[in-house]
Amino acid sequence: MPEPVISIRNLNTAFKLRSGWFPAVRDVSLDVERNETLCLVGESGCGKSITAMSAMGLMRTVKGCRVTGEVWFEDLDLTTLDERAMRTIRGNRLAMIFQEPMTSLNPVLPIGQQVGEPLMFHRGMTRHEADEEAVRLLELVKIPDARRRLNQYPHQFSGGMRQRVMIAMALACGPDVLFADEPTTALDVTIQSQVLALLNEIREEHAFALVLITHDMGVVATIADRVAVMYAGEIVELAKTSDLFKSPRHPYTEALLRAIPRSDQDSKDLRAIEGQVPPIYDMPPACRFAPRCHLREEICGQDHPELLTRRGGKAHEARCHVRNRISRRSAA
Amino acid sequence: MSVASQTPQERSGLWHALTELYHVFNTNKTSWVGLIIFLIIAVLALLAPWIAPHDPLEQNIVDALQPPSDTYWLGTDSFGRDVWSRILWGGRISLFVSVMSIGIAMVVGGALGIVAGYKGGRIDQVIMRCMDVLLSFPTLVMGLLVVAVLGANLTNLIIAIALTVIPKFARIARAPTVAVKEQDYIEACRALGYSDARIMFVHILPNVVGEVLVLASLWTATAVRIEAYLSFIGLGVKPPTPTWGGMIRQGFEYILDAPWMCIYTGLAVLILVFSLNLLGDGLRDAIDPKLRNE
Repeated sequence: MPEPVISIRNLNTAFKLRSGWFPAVRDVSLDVERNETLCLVGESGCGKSITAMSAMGLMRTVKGCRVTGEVWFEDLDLTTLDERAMRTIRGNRLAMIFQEPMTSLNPVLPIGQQVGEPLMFHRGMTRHEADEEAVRLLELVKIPDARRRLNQYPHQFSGGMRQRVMIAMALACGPDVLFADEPTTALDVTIQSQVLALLNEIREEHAFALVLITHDMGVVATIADRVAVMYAGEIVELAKTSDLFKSPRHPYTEALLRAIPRSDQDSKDLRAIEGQVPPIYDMPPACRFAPRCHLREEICGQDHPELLTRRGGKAHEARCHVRNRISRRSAA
Repeated sequence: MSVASQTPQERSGLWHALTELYHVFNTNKTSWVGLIIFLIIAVLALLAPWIAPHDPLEQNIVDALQPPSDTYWLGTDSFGRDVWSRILWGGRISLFVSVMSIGIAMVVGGALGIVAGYKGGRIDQVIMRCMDVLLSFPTLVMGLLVVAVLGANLTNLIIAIALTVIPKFARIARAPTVAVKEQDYIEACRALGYSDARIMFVHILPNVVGEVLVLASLWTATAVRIEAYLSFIGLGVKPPTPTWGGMIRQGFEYILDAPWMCIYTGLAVLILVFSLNLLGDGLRDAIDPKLRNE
């Protein structure tokens, strides 16, 4: 297995509420390899974005928020770096794009200046060099007539174009890891696929690691090499995309896959997952999915399951007592 | 003006700033009117030593309180000094004091407001409470205080006016900063690793500068008045040096017999204030990129 470019170890991010500290992200460990697309999937509020933002070191300055664990990047534990050192890495080696392209660009600055700025800041380029590079970057993300568009303002760009600009900004310094936080959620379906295809194409060309956060299983199927399914702040299943879609092991993943509406089926068959994600202040003590799980057994309410792989099998981890026991037994 | 033909080289530096400014003014014609009137006043004041027909300090008791004539275009004051020449020379002082004091207040107050709004918490509390303290002093008391501590001269007059106006800029800059810092694009800036200083003064400042400039143009007009006020009670520029405020005050005593002293000097203040208000109003509309027509 090749060396991971970024390695998240036992990441915990907790928020302070009136009655104490509550973990929004619990014990997340992830390795992402160079030239790999890893998808973080899960429903709203399951901790996908918080995981990425914690890895970028963006959560630790937030009031009432505590991040523990390690984030290894090039022999450096990013969680031990001070803010000044972290700034030289953020936007330079690790980059991030956000969900809302309509509000993620500064409305009062021209596009060219915003795309060129990371280069001026991190690489010490002059305005002129940064402008030239900005043209190249805008062409890379397939914005037509890039040179003329340098002087335009964000409101003159459509949503899809703005998301391309965001991608151009994130790629400006040639990052090793790109976190994309639901980059296509706010876009039309046709534009979504264009942006995804573009991201994938650029990723292949520039060989960085892409961590794509999404709640759209269709997106996962199109683009991901590996998938990490998150539920209530934990990774519940981690597998190669093809394995996950072929034989999901965690009941939550199964339910998620069943819940994808299909055009060849009657819409009455659309199966939602019963119940709700437990609120952060009222987590089930053991398996967090237990209250909604159809496989629930006695142990699920008593013991917190570990993220385990099938013995002797492929790297396909799941956090489920029942499934892990069955697969153990069948393997034994 | 075609932006399309510009290459990045042309965009850079001073040229970039100038084309920006041109765009700003071109969107709003009234701001052109304001700017032109203001520039005419400024040029006339600057050229005073060469275009003033008389020495502004030369007293000629025989010609005291003369109505406007061929010799004295706008009449003479109680010491027989030419009102037109004194308006030209007085404009130099009045403009200098008001522009300087508001310039200082704008930079200092604006910066304090942005820092307070962006940093929040204790820093915000400390800065804004200091501003409240400054704001609680009436202009006159502040003037007395500064002059008592530092002595009465032009520099201290500027400091006194700036001190009374700084809190207003701090407040006007803080409010939009608090709103803007919650925006996604500021979070995006942090994700790009930018320093706080860069975020504040490259990304937040342009969002705030519209409000600040409008306030500046309006307060420059007020500063002309404050200067008159302080000069009158002897805290500012001392007679016989002409300032517009001082001249109005002096003319006030003769308003029934020789109204030209008040009327023409007052007119000068009026035109200056009017031009600055036009300018500020136009700037506010033009600086919002959403309102720009391309």
